[in-house]
Amino acid sequence: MSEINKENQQANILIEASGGLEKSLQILEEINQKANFIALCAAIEGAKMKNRTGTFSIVAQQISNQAQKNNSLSEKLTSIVKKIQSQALDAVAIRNLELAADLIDKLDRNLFERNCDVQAWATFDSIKNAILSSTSENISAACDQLEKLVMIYMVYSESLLLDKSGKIIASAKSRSLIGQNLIHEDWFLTTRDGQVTVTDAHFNHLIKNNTVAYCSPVMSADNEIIGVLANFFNWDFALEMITSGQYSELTNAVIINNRSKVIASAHESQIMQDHYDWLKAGRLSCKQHVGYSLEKARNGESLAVGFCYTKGYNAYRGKGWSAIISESINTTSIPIHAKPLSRRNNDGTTTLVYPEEASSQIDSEKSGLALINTMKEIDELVYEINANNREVKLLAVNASIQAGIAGSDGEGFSIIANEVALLAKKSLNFVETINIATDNLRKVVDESISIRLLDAAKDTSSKVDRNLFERYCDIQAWSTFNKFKEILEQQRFADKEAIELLQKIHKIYEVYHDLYILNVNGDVVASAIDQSMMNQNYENTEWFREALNGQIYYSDIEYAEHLKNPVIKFSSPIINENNEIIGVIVSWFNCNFLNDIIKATIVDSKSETYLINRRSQIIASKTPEEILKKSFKTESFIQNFSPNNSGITNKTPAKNEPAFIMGYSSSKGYNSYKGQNWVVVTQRPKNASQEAQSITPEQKFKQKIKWIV
Amino acid sequence: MRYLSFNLKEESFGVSLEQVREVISFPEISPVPGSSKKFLGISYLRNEILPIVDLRITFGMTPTLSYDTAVIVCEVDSKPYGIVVDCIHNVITPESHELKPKNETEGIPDYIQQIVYREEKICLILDVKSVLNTKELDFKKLLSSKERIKSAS
Repeated sequence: MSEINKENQQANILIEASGGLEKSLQILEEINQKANFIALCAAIEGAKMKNRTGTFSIVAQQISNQAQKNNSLSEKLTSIVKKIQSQALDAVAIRNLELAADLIDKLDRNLFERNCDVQAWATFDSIKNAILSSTSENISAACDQLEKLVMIYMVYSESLLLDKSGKIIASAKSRSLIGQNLIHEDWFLTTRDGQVTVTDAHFNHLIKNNTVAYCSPVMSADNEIIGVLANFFNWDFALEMITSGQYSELTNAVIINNRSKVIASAHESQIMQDHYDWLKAGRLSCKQHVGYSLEKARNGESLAVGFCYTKGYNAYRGKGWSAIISESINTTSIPIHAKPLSRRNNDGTTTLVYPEEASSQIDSEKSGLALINTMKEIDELVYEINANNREVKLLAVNASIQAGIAGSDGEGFSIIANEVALLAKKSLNFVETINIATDNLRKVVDESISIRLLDAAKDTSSKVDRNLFERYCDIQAWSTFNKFKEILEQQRFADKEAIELLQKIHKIYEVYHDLYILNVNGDVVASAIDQSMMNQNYENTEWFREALNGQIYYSDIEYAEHLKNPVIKFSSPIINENNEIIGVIVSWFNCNFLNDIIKATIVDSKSETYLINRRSQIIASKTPEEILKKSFKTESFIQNFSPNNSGITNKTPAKNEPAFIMGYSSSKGYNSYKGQNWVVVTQRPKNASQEAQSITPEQKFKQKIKWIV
Repeated sequence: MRYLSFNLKEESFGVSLEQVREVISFPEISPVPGSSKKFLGISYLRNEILPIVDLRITFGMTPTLSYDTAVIVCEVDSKPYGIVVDCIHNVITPESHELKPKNETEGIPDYIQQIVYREEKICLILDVKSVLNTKELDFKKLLSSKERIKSAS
């Protein structure tokens, strides 16, 4: 919990830290007022002494020059502090943009799976048969099949089978719906015309819940549309993505549709009720923008907002939704502005700019880093102030010298000398204050960079789990296909139909290398893609034996020689009506899709993300060459990892290696998929976050006049 | 009498205000070829040529440059000289009991004009003219005479 709290406060800590600089400005302001006053007094005293010697007026003049110099330094500092404050606000908004991008990506990936499921389910024989011949026996078989599938995948409220006239003929859960006619539903009509249809999020009166319906035409053997299958996604699973997001109490995360209606939020009262058109970020999202903004909430609070329009995932193009993350900020005055960074295009797959372009834009704007650069400017200025301070100190001595020479006549001037000396002391204090403030800010910025690494690691780890959960469900669902049971019962090789079925689901889901059916002896009897696999024996493999023992099995990542690619194998027993195991179905998951998740991690360009297995091998990376070839340095946290373990750590470098700061998060599994104790690591070279370290003023002074010695 | 006190290698020294015009921060200096080592070069101060002499080198030490390094502009025979010192303190006005007669201790070099014993610390007042005119000065010797003064009092 303490960790979450720490993150919670992050935004306001950053703003507070920049506020520290503002306070130091006030000190400078006082010093300036004082200096101006002293300069005036010195001029008066100098004029009085004019008859004695000219040096008095010179010192008086110098004091006045110094006061002016102070004024200009203070102006410079004011403008830098303003810059830092606005960059600190931007940094908060950009962090929210990153969180918004994480959220919408997670949602897209989930909805892509839903899009696949409905198409795969529509290919089941029991589904088709119920439409072709609506005997009570066929209908109950279809209901049973749907019920089973809905149970396996967990994320559906209901699944309905409709015939061409719009009549419900089978359902997964509520049998009382059978017989109702839905011909007036838009989704039914478009799907009956042959289009896979996804509805917007809505409250559905039929199932009495918020949902998105995924609808696929059901085709006969001769490719004629005979009905419609509609899966109703349980919207609670979309809300779960928000509630599991560990956002701070000051943060509100919502999904809006393309008319700015709130369709998901942690606040129930907002869902399907509230609109975000009052927010600039909301309006820009509806125009397909990605970016961040600083603006006022309806209650007058200041908000730092990140917004991200959907980019879809693979074949699923999204519904025009956007994630908006708004955080209330503890400051009254904010420079209101909205900054769209990129725009998603309507015309499909080719022109999408996300994530490469947008994230690189985020990168260049990355305010944490911008802040670091600005702090360099402060360092310069502190150098100038220090140099100035030295002058003031000497000036104080000069004033005493003059006063000393003049003896009793110089008393007025000696008071001024004391005042100047006091001024020098104050100015020294000021330099200390500003150093503390910048050090503090630098620490906070460093921290915010490392917290982003942690956020990204957590998010990516959760995406991996969610993806593998789907694979885990898929294999269970496919083990129920009657076609596969038939060939296994008859102890023969697959016919054309069975192979076509395998190929079809292979094509729908996109993420598999291949799918195989094996008999109880471990012989491959059907293959989706690689027909040379037929008759190969896998009796002695773990995945086969486990499945034959009735387990749903998933492997660690393995290198498949003949595919020249790493794969993860998911296997499930195939069980007949008499509850006997008659064979095994196995899917070889294409691990490039894990790389794809790693690639989609939103971190800046200097950071790297890895997925690591229990043996510390790299199993997913931006650089596929590293996979299973490279081992990760066995850091203590990896050796001691346990489920649901996450944090930030410093990687102590070996010789000639840069130091890293890393975020890590181990897999916690998702729903029925329990995970494999894999760890996602995000790391960033340390020196990169310490660009701010600059030379001390003294070093600089020496550099400036190094001819001596 | 008033003096300007300054530091040279953590030791406190002073010069009489009569010999001081002002103090300045380390200026830009143009080296003069062929001159003695302690003479760093010349600088300009309000259109007047200012020869710069490093007091550390004068006492046979390695010169350093720090944030506090400063130059005392002294007047010798109506001509200004800039004396580079490690750090400038302030103007001091010793009470008469704080002044020690020079002849109380033996072997005090001539370039020491006055001894101020104040707040348990000894501050040697240098005569700028003799410092500039004496060829070889030894800092160790100076320190040892300081020790002797201390033990004597």
